[in-house]
Amino acid sequence: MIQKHSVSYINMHAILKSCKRNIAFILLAIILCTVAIYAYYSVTHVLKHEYVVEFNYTVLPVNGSTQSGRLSNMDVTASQTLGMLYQNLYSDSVYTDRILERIGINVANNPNNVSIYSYETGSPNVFKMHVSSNSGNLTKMILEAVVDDMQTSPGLPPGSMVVFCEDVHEIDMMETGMGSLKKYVAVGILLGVFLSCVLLALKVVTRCAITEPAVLTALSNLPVLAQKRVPLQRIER
Amino acid sequence: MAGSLFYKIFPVFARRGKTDLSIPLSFSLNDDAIDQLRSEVLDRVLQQSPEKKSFILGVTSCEYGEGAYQTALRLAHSFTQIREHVLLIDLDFRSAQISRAVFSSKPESSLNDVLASENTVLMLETVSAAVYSFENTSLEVLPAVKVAGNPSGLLEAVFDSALLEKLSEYYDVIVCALPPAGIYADASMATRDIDGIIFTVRENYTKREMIDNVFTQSRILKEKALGFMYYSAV
Repeated sequence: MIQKHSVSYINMHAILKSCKRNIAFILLAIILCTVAIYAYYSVTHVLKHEYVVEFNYTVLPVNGSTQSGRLSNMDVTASQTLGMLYQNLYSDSVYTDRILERIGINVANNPNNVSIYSYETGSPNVFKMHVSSNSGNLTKMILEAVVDDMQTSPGLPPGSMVVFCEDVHEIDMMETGMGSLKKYVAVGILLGVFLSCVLLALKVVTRCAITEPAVLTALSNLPVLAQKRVPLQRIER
Repeated sequence: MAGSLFYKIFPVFARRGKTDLSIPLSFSLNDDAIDQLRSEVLDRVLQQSPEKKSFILGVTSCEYGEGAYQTALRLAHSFTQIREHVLLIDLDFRSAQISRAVFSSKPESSLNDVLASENTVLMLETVSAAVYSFENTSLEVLPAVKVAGNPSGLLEAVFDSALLEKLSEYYDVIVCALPPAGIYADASMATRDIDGIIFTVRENYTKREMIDNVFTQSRILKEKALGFMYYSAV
């Protein structure tokens, strides 16, 4: 006689059968999860805050002389314009670390993907600095630190005009309705899918429903007198 | 005349008579599986007490949604093919599934009225008024009406009054639709007068733990259990 204890409550056969029955749900959860992860990363990318600062260095000597202390370590060649020099200098990770230190952020881990780089414009006397991060407030702080650094830097002689252009590209999606909506939808989908997966797993593992007559007999030592296959909707209360 | 015309126009107001019941199932009652269940049940009951001419059966499940009331209805109907007097009693005062399925409105007289009778003589008189016949079969039904709160007292009254015993003097087979044994203790109370209990189980729905609990907690229920009617889903 089959003993009751021989029937385990964690029955792989039951779990597999239940997974098979819920295959549509599982596939849907996987698809939704993929979409949600994609949306989450898309939104994260969109949420970058970018500001552009323009520096007019027309008063600076353009022959690459090393007047300032900060430029003294740079190897300025005759063919290199000062714009290119600034571009190289302020795109350096050392500079980014220095700015981060200036505002009191641990440079060892860069949690908000802070990025600072400079680039030349069409005008030979103007170069722009690009600051971006995942946090709006942090970006503003970095931007202010950059401007402060540039203004107090011995490399930028008094009289150089600093043009501060904020939100020139209007990429600050965080503060627009669309950005928040996308973010919350993505996070909502992620949470929903995660919870669905957890619930499905709990249902499959813990419910342990009867899946075959033999299990029933083993559990109770009673016979199955008759068996009928009926559509699910016809089994009513 | 005017009255019958009124009831034709507004059938919802028509009072259900004793012979105008129709079985409201969407599928045929002539079912091989139920016939097999009937013969298995008959074998087992007769094996236990061969001299018995009439017997009382109970149909229950672990919880609602496992097809217990349909099984009771179809099993009772199936018994009409081999026995002359078959009675189906709805003992589930908590949901009154049979009554709700068979009657389009609240039955004029029910088991609740029978139990409200003061003495046995009055009770038997009320029973004859509360038993309804189906149109095309010899099956008769004694409906119950849903009671709010805890109706265990009513069920206890059924067995204290020995109503089933008295009914079994006339009926060959009595099929009782019991409340779910996994949820309420009513089914265990009913085992006193019942010769055998059939459990309905629905594949991928009935929990093993529930089955285990039902038989662990009520030894008498297990002793009276004849077996299972197993519904596997297509």
